[in-house]
Amino acid sequence: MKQAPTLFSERLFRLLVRSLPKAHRRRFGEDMVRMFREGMHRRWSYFFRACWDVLGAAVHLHLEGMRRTPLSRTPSRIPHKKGTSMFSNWLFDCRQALRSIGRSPGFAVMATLMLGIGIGATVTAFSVIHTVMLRPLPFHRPQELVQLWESNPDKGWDHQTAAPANYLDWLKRNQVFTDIAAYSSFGQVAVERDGGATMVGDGNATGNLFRVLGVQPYLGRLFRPEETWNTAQPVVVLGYPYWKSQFGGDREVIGKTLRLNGAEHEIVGVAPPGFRMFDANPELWRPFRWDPAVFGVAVWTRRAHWIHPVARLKTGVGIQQANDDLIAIMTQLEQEHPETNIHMMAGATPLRQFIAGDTALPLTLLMAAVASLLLIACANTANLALVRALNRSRDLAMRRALGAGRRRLIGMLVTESAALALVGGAIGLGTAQLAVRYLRESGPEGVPRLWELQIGIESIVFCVAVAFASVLVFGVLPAWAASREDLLQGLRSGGEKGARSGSKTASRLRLILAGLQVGLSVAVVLAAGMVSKSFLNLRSVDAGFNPENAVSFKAAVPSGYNVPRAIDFYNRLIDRIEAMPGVDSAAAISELPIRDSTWSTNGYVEGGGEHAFVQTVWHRTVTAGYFSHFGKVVEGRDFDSTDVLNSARVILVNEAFARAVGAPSLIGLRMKTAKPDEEGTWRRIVGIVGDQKHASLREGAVPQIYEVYAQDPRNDMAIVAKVSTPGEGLLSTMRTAVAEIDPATPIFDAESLDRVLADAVARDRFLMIVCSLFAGASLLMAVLGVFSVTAFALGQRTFEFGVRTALGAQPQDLVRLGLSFGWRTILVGIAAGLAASAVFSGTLTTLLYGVSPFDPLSFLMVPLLLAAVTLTACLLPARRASRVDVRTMLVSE
Amino acid sequence: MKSKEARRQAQRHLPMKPIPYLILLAVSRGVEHGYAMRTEVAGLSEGTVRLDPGTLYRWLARLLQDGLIEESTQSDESSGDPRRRNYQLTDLGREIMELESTRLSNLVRAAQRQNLVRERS
Repeated sequence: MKQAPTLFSERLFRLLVRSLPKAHRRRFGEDMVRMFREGMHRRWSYFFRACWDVLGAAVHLHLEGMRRTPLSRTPSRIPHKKGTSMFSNWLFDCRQALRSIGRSPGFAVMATLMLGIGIGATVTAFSVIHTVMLRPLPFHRPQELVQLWESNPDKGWDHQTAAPANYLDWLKRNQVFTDIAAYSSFGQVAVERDGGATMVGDGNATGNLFRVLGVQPYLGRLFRPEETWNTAQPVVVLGYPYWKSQFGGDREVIGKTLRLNGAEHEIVGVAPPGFRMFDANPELWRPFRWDPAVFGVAVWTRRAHWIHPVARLKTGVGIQQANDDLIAIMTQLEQEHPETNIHMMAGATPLRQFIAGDTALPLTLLMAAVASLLLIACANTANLALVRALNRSRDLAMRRALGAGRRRLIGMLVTESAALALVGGAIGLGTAQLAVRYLRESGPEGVPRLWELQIGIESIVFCVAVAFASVLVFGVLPAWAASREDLLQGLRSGGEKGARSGSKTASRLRLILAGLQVGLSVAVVLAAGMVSKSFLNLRSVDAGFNPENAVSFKAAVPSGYNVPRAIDFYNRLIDRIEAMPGVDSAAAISELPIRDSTWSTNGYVEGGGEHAFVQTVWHRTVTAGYFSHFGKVVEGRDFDSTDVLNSARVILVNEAFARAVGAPSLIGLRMKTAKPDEEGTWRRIVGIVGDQKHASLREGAVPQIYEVYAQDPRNDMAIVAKVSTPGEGLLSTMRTAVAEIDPATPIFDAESLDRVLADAVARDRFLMIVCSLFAGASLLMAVLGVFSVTAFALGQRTFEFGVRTALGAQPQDLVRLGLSFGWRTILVGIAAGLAASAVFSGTLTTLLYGVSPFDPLSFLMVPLLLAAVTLTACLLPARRASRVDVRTMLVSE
Repeated sequence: MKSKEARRQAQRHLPMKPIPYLILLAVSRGVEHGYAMRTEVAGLSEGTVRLDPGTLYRWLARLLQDGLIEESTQSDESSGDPRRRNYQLTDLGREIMELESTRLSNLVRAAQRQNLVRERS
């Protein structure tokens, strides 16, 4: 199809032709344009080919020209002619830049290292933010996936898991989702193979989970929707890493059976490589296998909230519409099921946003800290670059005298900066790659999607953009200032003298840069100080148990045990462990405090007074003597050997529960885990125990109740032992003791209780370490910046100092005078940093524990620290300036 | 006149790369300028070589510099544009073409003897 070429395309082509060497352009330029025009008559797509071709030709021709003119024979000062091609100038500048940088290796190394660290930290932080908050989830059309949740203001629930019966009603009644699946919190299952049993991570879900996510199997098939119910045969899908490691990647595994928790499951498929559900990576997947006669029918399936629904929006449906639909359904359910659904609400959140959770703020803080570090690095490099430029004032003045315009000089200086930024960017990218690898493998708990962290194309593009921006800061500004130097002054003085006699613009710029560094350092050090204080506060929180010399491991009751046998199993196990040398005491708990999640229920105390009903009570099961060894009994007694299966039902409550009820004494009263007017099993309260942290060190004490294992047996318990000498040897002996009781007992998650507490603050520790590193680096660079500015400024005043000395000034007077120069910059920087911190500190509130974001002590100590350190940095040049030799100075001037 | 010196000078340019060879071939066929050369080269190479302005004029500059072609003193009356530059082979260029063509032809004959040349369908 014939198309008339547009004027724009020809103009653009002519612009690209200007990149060719001048002689070639003059001779063939018009012919090329003519040929281009003829080509455009035939096809519009010719435009891109032709443009690309011209650029390639320009590179070839210029390189050819360079080959013909060896670098060594190129004069170092070539007069700049107007009209030389842009590309020629740029190539010339590149050669000059390399030569110039080669003459100052110290400056080059320092500049590239500073830039490399700044850029590397920035790219790493960006990669983390991109992975956690921006990168699409690795599912089919992830923008359509939403997480559904329930909330209830009466119970203090917000974005909680859902009840299975409510989920089934959403599935039936909704108008906005193509399908809704659900999965539960990931647990463990006993895999019996080769005569033994091991616990492996187990994921449970509805049969349509993989279909909703849009995941395809690697081998065989994934679940079918009907396998949600126990009317279907038990099946299992192997995770790809588990299949490779445990089955050797055997493709004949499909159709074989695997014994899980005592039941045979058919292996129907292998999940694809890299498939994970958020932070958990279970080794096996099993459908729920719900009983259709129970689920959706029995009241408890609407009362127990433990599944995570995931839904796919219909095409064209927005999140608001989905929320409105869920609200309408919950309104119906509230009327149909008032015993369970009063004030119960539901909502939907985009899945990516739900996964990112509350990491947005700490990641944003991290980004702000690294951006500050990068700015400081750029400011430092700018200062160094400015001094170098001023040192070459004679050279620059000569070029201007020979006809080079200011733009040409700026271009030359900026090219040097760009070369440094290129190397700095490469170092930064390499540093970021290492940092990302470390974070991916050893990053802190609680940061979602960290396993997907990598340096992708987005990070590389960001790195290039950051390097380019840093050139603008540390390259353009100093170049512009240096190019404003007075021509005559530069020709007369030049060299170091030229640097010393720099213009006011250059001096002002250096002061601003130094002040910027001080201000940013104040903000970063303040934030680091508050985060560190918060971490230390968290570490000193009383968890309610003493982790010192305490170890734990989990042991599951072997399959096929009835209740009496299961009770006897743990009794024998605890007796066996307590009898070991080096073990002081042992007991068991169903879910470790802080580490493991448990379930909540209601609590009603008969005769408990006005507040006898407690809406939300968290439930755990312990063996006799647990609190005597690993907690404290505040009132009444602990469980003991008289509390057995057929004895009167007993229960322990914690202090928070007692405070919630508010009765004078709860000992001897009966309570049930139900509402006052509901059926429930009565248990007598025999003791009140000390509060132990439930799910987090940050939260206050919550009402908790404890049943005795003999009356509430569980499938697996955490054995906790107090030992005199913790170590791997003792744990190994404990494993042997378990195997002696029953070799089919799987044991897992062996760790010290110190580790449990350490993991609870892992994210805060990580934030503290990172912020402290940044604060240290920022402070160091700010000190260097202030030092160099002061040294430079005082160097400019050597003559003045000499005259003052000749007129009788004492050294201490000159030191005071020298310090007076630096302190103004420092004060202004500190004030600006404090002002910025006061404005933005409020955003840190949710991150901090026990520390106000406007902590007066921090706001006082940090500026004092900065002032002391930076004034000390001014002291050295001030003392040096005060010792000027008058005669030598006068002779040199 | 083909002197020994001229032949020696010509042989310094052998073997030729495909693009300059095709350009010389187009010039030897009387195609003289820009886009027409592109079309001719595409035809000679059965569409495998498409010359764009940057590449074409880069090679023209090299060929001019090496003395294989020269600018024609006659203006191109057919195009009606007196500014259009036209080219023709020099003696050296013609010599090099002959030598290169002979070399290629010998290669093709050797390949044919080994039945390595596919028949055109």
